[in-house]
Amino acid sequence: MRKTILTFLTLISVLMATAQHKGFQPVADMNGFRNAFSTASAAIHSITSNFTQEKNLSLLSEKITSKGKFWFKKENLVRMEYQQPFNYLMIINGNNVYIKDGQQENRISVKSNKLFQKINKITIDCVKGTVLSNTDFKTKAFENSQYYLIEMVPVAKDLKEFFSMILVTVDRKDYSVSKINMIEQGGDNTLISFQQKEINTTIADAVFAVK
Amino acid sequence: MRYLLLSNVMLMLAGCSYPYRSLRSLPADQSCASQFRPEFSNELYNTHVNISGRHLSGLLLVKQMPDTTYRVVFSTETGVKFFDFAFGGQEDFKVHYIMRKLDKKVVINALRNDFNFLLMNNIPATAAQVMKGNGMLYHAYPMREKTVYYLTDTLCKKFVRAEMGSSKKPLAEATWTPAGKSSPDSITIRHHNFDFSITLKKLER
Repeated sequence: MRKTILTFLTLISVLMATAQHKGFQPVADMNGFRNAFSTASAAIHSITSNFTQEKNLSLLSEKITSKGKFWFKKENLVRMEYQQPFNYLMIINGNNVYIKDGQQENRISVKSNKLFQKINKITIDCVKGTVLSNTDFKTKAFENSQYYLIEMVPVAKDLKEFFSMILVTVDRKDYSVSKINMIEQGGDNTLISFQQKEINTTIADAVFAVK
Repeated sequence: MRYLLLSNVMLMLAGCSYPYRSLRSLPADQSCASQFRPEFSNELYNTHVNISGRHLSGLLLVKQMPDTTYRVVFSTETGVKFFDFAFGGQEDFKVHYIMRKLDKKVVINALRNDFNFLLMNNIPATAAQVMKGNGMLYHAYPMREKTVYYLTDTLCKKFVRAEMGSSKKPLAEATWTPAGKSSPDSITIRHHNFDFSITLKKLER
């Protein structure tokens, strides 16, 4: 009898998790995945790719699409250059952030801004493969034949204001990030998809210069 | 003679300080300013805001909903939402979302007034009065506790600018081009009583 109940509960929890993320099953061997993700990510020193960002405003049935180029270099250098339909440049270089918005340039030190530090950490952790150990979130992992899906639910109050959940889709073949989906409390979301990824090409440090 | 000069100077100074006092009411078509009402359907604007020496940029979406209300949503280029307001309809104005840091009555009221003024929302179909001054017509409409003036040439053929004022002086002004019968390509809103300006440029999607 106890065995039947246990099987039933396991089945229910599997079904619930499956219903949560269509087409994905919970990762059976979480430790195995954690180690493999961390080992594979350790071998990634740089990423160059194109990206598409879709901001979905659910109640307005509206989608705002923008496109650009993305660069990452270990340990903590990120450049996101929006090129369509507007120009906007953001460079994260350690604790410094440089923003050029078409009208003005801004340099911000995130040392004194904990929220900004946490948001920067999400981007860096996602591409560095250390996302599973980010203590600002409760994480779970799911999988299908092509991808892993990491579910991140914020624990920190300041992050909860912005996100109800972040879903990171990781490509099984090289453990690189394919999509980051930031879901807000009201149901709107921002989905960033990375295309034409090039792993470990040489990127000059000047690309991340915070002049 | 000295007193006459003095009183003239005083009158001129009063006219400068309180520009609306020197306007003269005249019989005119009280509905003609409505032809310059911007017509938004679903537009996205690259937006720059300067407030008290600080600068921020983002994307502003203005969308007319099937029930004819307008939704105005402002977010950063990276997708973080600042606010989501609804204008028009039975409730007239509704805050669907505002970031906690901006959630202050004074901020919400300033933004509410600015967009009402631009959308020509919450004003009667005809002007309360049309006045003449400075070579222009001032089409005055009461809007909440303020008055908005849509300024045109004397034939009411050309839109000059919009002003939001107290009974005495302008508090903010807005310009948009083209004016009327389409969505504006560019919009500027500038406040006179504090350092706050918004510039919008339409994006092709």
